[in-house]
Amino acid sequence: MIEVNNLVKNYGKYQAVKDISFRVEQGEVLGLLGPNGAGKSTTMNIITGYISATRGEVKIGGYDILKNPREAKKRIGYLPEIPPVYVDMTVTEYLNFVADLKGVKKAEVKTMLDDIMEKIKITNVSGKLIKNLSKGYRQRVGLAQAMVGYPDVLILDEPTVGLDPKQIIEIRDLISELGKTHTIILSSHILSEISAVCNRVIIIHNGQIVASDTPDGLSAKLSQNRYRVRLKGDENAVLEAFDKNENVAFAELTQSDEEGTCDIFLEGANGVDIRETAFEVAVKHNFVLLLINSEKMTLEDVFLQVTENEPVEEKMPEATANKNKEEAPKEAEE
Amino acid sequence: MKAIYKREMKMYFNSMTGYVFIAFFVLITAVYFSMMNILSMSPQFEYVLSSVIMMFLILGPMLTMRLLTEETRYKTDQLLLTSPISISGIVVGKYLAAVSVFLIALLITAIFPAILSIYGNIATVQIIGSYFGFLLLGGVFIAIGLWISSLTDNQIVAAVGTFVAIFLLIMEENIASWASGSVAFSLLFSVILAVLIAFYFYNNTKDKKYSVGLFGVLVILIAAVYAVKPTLFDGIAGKFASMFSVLTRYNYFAMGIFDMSSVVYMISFITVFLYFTVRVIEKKRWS
Repeated sequence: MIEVNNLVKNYGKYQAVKDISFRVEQGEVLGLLGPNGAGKSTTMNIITGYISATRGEVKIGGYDILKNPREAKKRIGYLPEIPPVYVDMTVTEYLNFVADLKGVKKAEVKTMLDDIMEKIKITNVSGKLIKNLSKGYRQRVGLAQAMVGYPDVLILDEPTVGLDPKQIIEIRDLISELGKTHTIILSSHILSEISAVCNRVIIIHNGQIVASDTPDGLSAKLSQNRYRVRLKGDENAVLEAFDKNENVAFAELTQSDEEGTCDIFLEGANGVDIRETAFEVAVKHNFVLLLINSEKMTLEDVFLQVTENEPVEEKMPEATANKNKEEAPKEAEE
Repeated sequence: MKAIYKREMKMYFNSMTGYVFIAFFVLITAVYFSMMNILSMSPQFEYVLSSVIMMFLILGPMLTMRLLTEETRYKTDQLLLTSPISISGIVVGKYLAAVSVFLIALLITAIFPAILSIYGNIATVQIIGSYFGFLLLGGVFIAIGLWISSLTDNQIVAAVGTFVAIFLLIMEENIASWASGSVAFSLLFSVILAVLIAFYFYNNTKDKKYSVGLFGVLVILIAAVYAVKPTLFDGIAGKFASMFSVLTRYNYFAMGIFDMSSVVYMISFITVFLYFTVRVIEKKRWS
């Protein structure tokens, strides 16, 4: 449904988007994730045809956004970062204008707008001037605007910003429901939202795609088979024992809640079940094994890992393990 | 285009702008009408219209200053530009709305010559010509105002810019006659032109070195031409200024001369500025 190929956007010398490519299939809900200034909004602005890309192409339902803008734009409903509402119009006036803009047939306008306002729950403010509405309601009016004309594709730039928790849940449910019949691209920095709503997540950082998978797949891929093991014993002795063991691919000390114990993150080397190794090591060195817990990374962790430490898999374990080694004695002295 | 036109009309008459514009325009015309026709017992209404032209300095910016500035400022251009309508549709829709408000005001003032005609003979041809020319002249000023409003997202800047542009156009005859005599002024004018060209080049390429280089080349060229044939600079500024002689064209209409070339001239003027506006909006998307 949406095809983005080798998108590049330069602002003068600054490159906001560096060669982004992805596809979104019919009925898919794609989440764009990334820190501020990562290029999410720029990408969305290019997809919707608001700005033009320096290089690359965007196709909506097979129509190129530059070569055939009218057909492509007919298929898109766009909610930008700031809802594009005219503050000196009432909600109904505004939505009627949008319907007019999008070429909705006169006979269908009223039922369509009533239906949309019902769904988004703005019927009660339909007669109010938009300038008198709260941020949350303006956001909803913006969302309603995107739905006018029932486009196949919805592009939503941070749709739940400024809403209260109850509204967030409502909008989220609405997006989930719309996702059944629409193709949706949604950007957010609230990760729980993305994992709740999206089938697939793309993490953008510095204008590049750094990770792309399902929310579960993403956390599974990065956490692999990592376990938290709690042992009674000296921190340094524990770390040393595991570091020496050849079945351990990754060992990192971490904070323990219990007095006189230490926690360590462990990962097995190529397919070894690290739980067995943990038990064997504990027996051999006389540590008392208190806890083995599967450590699943949340999307937050994945996000932080991907955007902070760029070469994720290789560099990190050793670096942090060393760092902990250095810090550990200091803590012991204190 | 229709959707934009309808919205703009609604905005003019939902807010005070449309009413204030019309009221102000009619009031000023009425004042001139009372002074020039009634009190001095003269039937020449076309002089009234010619005097009202000055009021465009205030009325022009009033009509056009928020047309595109507000869209950029409140990001509503995101809605327009991602909707299945063309940029020229947006620009023409807005333009026609502004011209419509102006036309409404103009039609109301037709009451005054109608009153005159009750009491005696009026120069019908001149008055109709004046009205026609006046509409075209207003159309030109509105097109320029629309273009200026596309350049900035600040209403005040747009208003002042439009004021200056209309002022220069109204004063064009005076400037031309004053400038044409002096060679020094023509030289200065050529250098200013070179600066503008270099700045335009810089604005498009963002390359300081080449822009300064281009300016240098142009100045050397001007100096060379001046050294070889100084007479070439005679009246160059005046000739340039007369390219913008909208007021002179208007005066033909006011005299009752329906000059086709003037009609074409005014309409081309409008078209060019509407085209500029479309280009400005398009360029924003690419930069």
